[in-house]
Amino acid sequence: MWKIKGIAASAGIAIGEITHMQEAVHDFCRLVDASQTPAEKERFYAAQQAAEKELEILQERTAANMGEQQAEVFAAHKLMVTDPSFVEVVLNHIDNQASAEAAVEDAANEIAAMFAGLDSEYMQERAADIKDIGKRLVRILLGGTAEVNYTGILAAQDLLPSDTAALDLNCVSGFITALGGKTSHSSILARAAGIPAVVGIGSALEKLNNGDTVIVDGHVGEVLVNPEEDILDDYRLRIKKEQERAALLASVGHLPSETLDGHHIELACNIGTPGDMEKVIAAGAEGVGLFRTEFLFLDKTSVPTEEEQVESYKAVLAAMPDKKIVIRTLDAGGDKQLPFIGGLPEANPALGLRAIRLCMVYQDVFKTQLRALLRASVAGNLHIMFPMIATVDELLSAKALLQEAAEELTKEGIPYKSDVAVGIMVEVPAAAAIADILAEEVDFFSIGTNDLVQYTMAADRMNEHVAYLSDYFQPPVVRLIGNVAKAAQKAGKWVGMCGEMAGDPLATPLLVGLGLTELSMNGRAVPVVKHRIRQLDVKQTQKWADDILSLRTASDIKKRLEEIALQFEI
Amino acid sequence: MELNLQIKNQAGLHARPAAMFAQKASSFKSNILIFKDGKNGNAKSIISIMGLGVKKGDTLLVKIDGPDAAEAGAALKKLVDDKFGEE
Repeated sequence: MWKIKGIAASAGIAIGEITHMQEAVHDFCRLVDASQTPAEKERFYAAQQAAEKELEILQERTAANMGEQQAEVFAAHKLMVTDPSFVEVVLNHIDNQASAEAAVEDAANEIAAMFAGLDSEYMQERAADIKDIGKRLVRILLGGTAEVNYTGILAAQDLLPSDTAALDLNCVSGFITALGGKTSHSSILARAAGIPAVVGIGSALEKLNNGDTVIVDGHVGEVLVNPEEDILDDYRLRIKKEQERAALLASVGHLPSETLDGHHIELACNIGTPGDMEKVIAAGAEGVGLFRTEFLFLDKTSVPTEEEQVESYKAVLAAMPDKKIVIRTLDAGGDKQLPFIGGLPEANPALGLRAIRLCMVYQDVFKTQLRALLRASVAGNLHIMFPMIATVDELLSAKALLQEAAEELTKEGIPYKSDVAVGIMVEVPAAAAIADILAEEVDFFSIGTNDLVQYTMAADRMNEHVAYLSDYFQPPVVRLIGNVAKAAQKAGKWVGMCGEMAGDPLATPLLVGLGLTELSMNGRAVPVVKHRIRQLDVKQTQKWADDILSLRTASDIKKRLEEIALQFEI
Repeated sequence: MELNLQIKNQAGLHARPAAMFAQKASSFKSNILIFKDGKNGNAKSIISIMGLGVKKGDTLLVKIDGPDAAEAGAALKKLVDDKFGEE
């Protein structure tokens, strides 16, 4: 057995026999007699029409199999086939006595070379697009059909979009390519189709023979060639486990997120734009635990209008009208500067004028957002969340401004819900320390672990030298979370979490045991966490949590949680 | 007529915005050329436009010659100012 190292482009493991993709070798005459020029032009126009038809079909088929987004590339190809610059270059070549085939090939190569010379990976990928179009036209000119039949592990220099779209994905179990990176078409398509792929293996491709048995490990980007039987067995077992896991997680989607003893733990998603709502629903989540509103503000030259904001907030609320939607007010400043506010660079942006602090300075901007939120509240179940609260005064002034906004709307006769829930993001240790006081003034807490860890451990999370401190299993962080949960419970308020920790299944038993009742995460994490919750007994998790609170180090806590995790199915 | 357009959308003239620009330009009879950094191209061609490698913040010189030049200029300016509908 020998190994090839490549780029992990699409996760999963596949075992099969190598089939090299046949690089079509086309022989055609390149030069024609001048009298043939008009006929060659006619042949080109006919091929152009046929290519448009093929692309139309490919676009439809890809849209049906893999989604509209994957199909867009063929819409772009259709435009390029009839592009005036491309056509002009082709016709020039034909005028110089080139055959239609030679003219198309040369034109495509010239344009591809121009794209490849541009300094962005994106544009270099477009070079692959135009070459693909050139090949398609040459094939059509020579009377070839688009049908291909490959099985097993497909090995190729590069898979062009039309190659991958023409494949029967039920017969191909993995891809290996010499060229390409994570963002190449072949990688994107492989991920969309759920086919394991290793790309960028370079000249090692030539050492693979048709019929070689290989293991494609798309998790780590490795190809194992002609492995021994015991290694094959090992990987077969891994494939079986992955399939079981996938089937199990897929079946969890529509099941309630309930513990064995009937406690409901709400699973929500973190989102950044209204467009993310589709994924939230697909993930089987029950709402939104954190909608970051920065996208409306950053990268804008002027403050977004109230109307603009109302529309975005309503879009999110209306997508799940009966579910809880937590919208966080503007968390800008620090390293996320607003162009229309300006401001001086700060020596210590993480500790500077940001989030609620910035909003209380630019109250007009803040009040516009609060008005927009209230106006949108009629569309669903809105929860407003203030970020970076450290003192009761900050919370009270933010609430006073919200009240002011509400009174304005009343005066103007604009409808809004008067019982919108108001909470805070607990991400500053100061807030965790006075959680009992803050709890009297809010409807809920949501713990933001990313900043809470950074501030508690006084460790910049981007600084690799102090990365050992940036760990949400550090005892001080776990204890603060426990304090916040206890204070909230005592005041009869709910407490959730919207940081990275919420989506870590290892942490789930601890968080449930500490008393959190809502976890908001990336959509991908929802099925795993839900499955874990469905195997928990709350009484038992409380015992574990008590025990964990007494542990001395982050590694002790992690070790204990790993022991606990052993008893779960996944 | 001639006009300068500053590209404000995040992606610059990538595939989608380039396609929108070319399609809009193609809906007019006038000849439309675009110039950037000494290079130029046909505004009705997505390939020409993408070949200029236009990024956010770049300024394009657009030369329009034909019966509907004024309308074409206004339409292209609007497209660019609206950031091609990007967020």
